Amino acid sequence: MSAMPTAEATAIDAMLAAAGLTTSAEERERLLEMYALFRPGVEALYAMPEARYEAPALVFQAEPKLTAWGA
Amino acid sequence: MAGIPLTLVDTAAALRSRAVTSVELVEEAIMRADALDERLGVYITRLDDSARAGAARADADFAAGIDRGPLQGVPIGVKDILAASEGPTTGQSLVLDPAWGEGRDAIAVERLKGAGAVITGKLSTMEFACGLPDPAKPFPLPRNPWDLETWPGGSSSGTGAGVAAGLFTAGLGTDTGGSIRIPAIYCGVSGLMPTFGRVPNAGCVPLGYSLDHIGPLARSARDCAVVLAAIAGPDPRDPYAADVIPFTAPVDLDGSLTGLRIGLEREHHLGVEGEDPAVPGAFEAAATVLGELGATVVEVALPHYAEVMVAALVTCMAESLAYHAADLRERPQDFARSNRSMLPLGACFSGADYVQSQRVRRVAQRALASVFADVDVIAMPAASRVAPRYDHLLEASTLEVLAGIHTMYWDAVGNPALVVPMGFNADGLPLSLQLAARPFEEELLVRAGDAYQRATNWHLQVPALARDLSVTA
Repeated sequence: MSAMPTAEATAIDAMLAAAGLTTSAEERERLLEMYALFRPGVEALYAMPEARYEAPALVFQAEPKLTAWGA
Repeated sequence: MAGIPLTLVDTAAALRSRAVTSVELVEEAIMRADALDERLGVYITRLDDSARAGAARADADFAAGIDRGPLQGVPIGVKDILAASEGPTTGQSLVLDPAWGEGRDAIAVERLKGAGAVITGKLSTMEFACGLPDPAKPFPLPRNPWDLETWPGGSSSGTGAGVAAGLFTAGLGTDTGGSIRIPAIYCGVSGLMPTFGRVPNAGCVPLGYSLDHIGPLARSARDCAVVLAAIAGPDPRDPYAADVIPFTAPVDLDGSLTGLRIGLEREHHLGVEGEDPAVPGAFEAAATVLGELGATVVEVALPHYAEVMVAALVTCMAESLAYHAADLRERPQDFARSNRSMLPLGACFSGADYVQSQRVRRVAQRALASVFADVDVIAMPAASRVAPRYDHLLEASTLEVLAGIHTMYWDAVGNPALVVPMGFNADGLPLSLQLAARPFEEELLVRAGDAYQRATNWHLQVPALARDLSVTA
């Protein structure tokens, strides 16, 4: 059984359902373990003072000037 | 066959001195595949016929005085998430549409062929370059030539095992969290993850769009440089390809590191839980060699290490789920066991988590640039553990297996990283040194790796199973 609090496990189940994803009991258990391991680290990303005014490493080009592969 | 060189650089020289022909090299590669591949699981698709034809063309070109460069006539394997026109691309998956990439070459493969390389086949990977082996699926279970009971690493499994066992001279892998470098580490060969954007990704099945890198695995750092020089450079078909000065393999390597400043990273790489007892000593010995070669060696610490690892995971999970979500909804049982647990994790992080991860990556890039103001190269153990045994691997989670592998930080920040063999543990399994540099300074990595390999011979060690087939240096 997962050590994750029931409320969080329920939230995960809801997120998976919203995404239309189904898992077996074993897969769900592994997923909950991984989530529990990483969630505190994800929260810590918001606590980094250096990131408060940083722009994300995302790029969007209005004029992509690209040729599709295989075109 | 005696007299087949181990390294790509020596092979290229032997072809030009007529000591060996491309046809002989390809026949050797086919003989080795016949003898070993049932045990190693390197190939998903062998391209013997087209390889023989390509070798004959290369020899004819040599005879006519046509020389397309150091890859001409050299047998090269390609990971089966890169399209090649000669055969199907499976991504080692039941899910990938067989029509994807059919009859086309990925840009990197197109460039290899343009340089005269002979493609020997499509190589085993983990499903979609992610997760762990699944024996329930109808694909090869790749084995490590140093110990068949162990995994060769992933996801460029066939490339690492094939280079180590001499099934081809070099190969292409891809690296999103370490998938070029992990098989290179476990199989005792060299692997170079270029700077993000250095090699166009078009024609490669994506895993993490902002993390994917195509690059070489080969015997030596110089060999990796030769392959990288052939496949690097911008292309309008790839939105992530960087428009920078093309990489050229350095020709003035002299084994000296005088003037180079190398930072040793112990803080996040030594004393890790589960560390193989041989790792600290091998790393200290490697550091001593680098100093003796003339480098100025100092201590450094990688900034925001824990945060970057989390940001990399969130990024990879979100980007990979975007690609796989539709298939994962409709046919989950067709995915490998480890991916059925791992890929849905992307649905458990929010859009804000994803964007925050990209902000953290930017913070880390800035902080790392400050570290690189004082050093040219950072050196660290590439992994704290050796190749895991299959009996453990098949019960483990992907994250358990990745623990103790120190590759993902560099995928997240985008800097280039090279791994080179640095010894063996008590069970005879390879250990590896990782070197990283500023973006687009792969030349420094090759310089440092080459100098180290001139002073050591770890990269020339051949597993007994392949040695018995009489490969000679």
